[in-house]
Amino acid sequence: MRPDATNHSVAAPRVLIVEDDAQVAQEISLILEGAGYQVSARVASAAAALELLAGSRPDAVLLDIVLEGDVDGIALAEQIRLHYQIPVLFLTVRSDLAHRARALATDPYAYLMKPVDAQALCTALAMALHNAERDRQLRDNQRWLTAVLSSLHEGVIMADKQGRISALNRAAEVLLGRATEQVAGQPLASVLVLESPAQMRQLEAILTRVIHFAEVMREPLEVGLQGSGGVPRPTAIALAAVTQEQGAVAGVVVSLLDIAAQVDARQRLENLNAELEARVAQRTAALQQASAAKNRFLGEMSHELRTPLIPVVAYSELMALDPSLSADTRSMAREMLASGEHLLGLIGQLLAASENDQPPLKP
Amino acid sequence: MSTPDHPAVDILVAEDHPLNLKIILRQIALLGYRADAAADGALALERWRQHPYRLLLTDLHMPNMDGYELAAAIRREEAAGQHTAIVAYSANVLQQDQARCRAVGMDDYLAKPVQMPRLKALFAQWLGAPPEACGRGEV
Repeated sequence: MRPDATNHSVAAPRVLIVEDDAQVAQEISLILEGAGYQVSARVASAAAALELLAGSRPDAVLLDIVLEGDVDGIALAEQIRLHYQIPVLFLTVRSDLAHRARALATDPYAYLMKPVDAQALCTALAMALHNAERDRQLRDNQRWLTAVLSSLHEGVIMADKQGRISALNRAAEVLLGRATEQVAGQPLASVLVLESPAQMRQLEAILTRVIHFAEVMREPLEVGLQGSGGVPRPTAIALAAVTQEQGAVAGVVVSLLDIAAQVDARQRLENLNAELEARVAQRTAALQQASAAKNRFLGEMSHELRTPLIPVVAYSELMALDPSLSADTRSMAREMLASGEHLLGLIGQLLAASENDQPPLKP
Repeated sequence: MSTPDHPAVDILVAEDHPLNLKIILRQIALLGYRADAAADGALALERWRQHPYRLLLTDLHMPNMDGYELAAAIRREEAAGQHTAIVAYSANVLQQDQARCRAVGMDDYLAKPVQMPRLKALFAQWLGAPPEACGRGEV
């Protein structure tokens, strides 16, 4: 099998062989090189191997269990796992349970038996390199996730499916005033202290629904969170279930957002609105008052201007109609009436114009 | 509509201004109708209670009880099926005054001064022809 083309190193993968039997080491080298690998070095002891690893890193290490020196291959594998994260493959004659158990504890990528089978060795090595690459990506993702969580302003708490806290991000530590170590393993409800028993009941009910039914919250719960400051802070709490591939709930993620500023802004906006409404009402009342005063004035004007015309118009009409008067007198009365009517018309137009001038202000 | 069943005096005038009262009574008489007069709303209400006038011609601004209160009181006190025609008679001619008259249950509105043709038409509408032909001039 050829080396995996997707491996991150462009050149042939480099393999370190740690083998006390020079002949076996030579044999393995030939197999690997024949399969397109590069053998970075062949060493016979753990000490020599560690010395090399401190300088340059191979892509994989092939390890015998029995080595020269005090340190055996399994102890070396443990060192490599702890410090280098290079995939290790055991190649050994040791097939007893005790050795296997110790070896497995070091997370090897393969445990192969001697004598060496070229096909099996190359297959195992290719798989190990592939798996190591996948593991490296997982560790990268983990680092991304960690960076994202620690950069968030939102507090994030992770808890298991019993609601026991496993981790907090930095923002959550600040909001709660507690470090991860102080709260790890504690139930969420004992760490998220809200300002009222009603809010606590609400939170616990949501937690239950999220954990048991993976229910999705439509909107965050707005509560007062008793945090580091002693005074409850307005906080939006959102809970989301973390589900496994089969859909079972593995745990819950709680996000905490300090909304004191929003709540404050909302309050100020409401106050401002109320103030504006009051001012509008005040202004409207003043205008209505002015409008009523104007109407009263117009009514009085109408009355005052028309009243003196009542006898003028009425009597001149009666005189114009009175057959006992001379034709000349009746003619004068008709002219008087016409003048009175004309004046009445002018007053009417003037008042109508003033009246129509009013703004339409009905409460 | 002058039958023996109907009272001779059909019209009540409520008016506090003596000259204006004198003028309207004269106009009514010239048209051949008869009217009683009251100098304010309270007196008019008293008279209305004693005598079922068919038409009330009322000024709006009067002492004791104004025209609006008078109309409202009459509407309150009227028995089922009874309806006195109430016509405002005022020198206030603004739209809002007229609207207020309708609101308290008045039937029509006359602007002061009123001339004979308008008055004649009004009486014809609410009372029919005059009970006695004593009108002097042609209108």
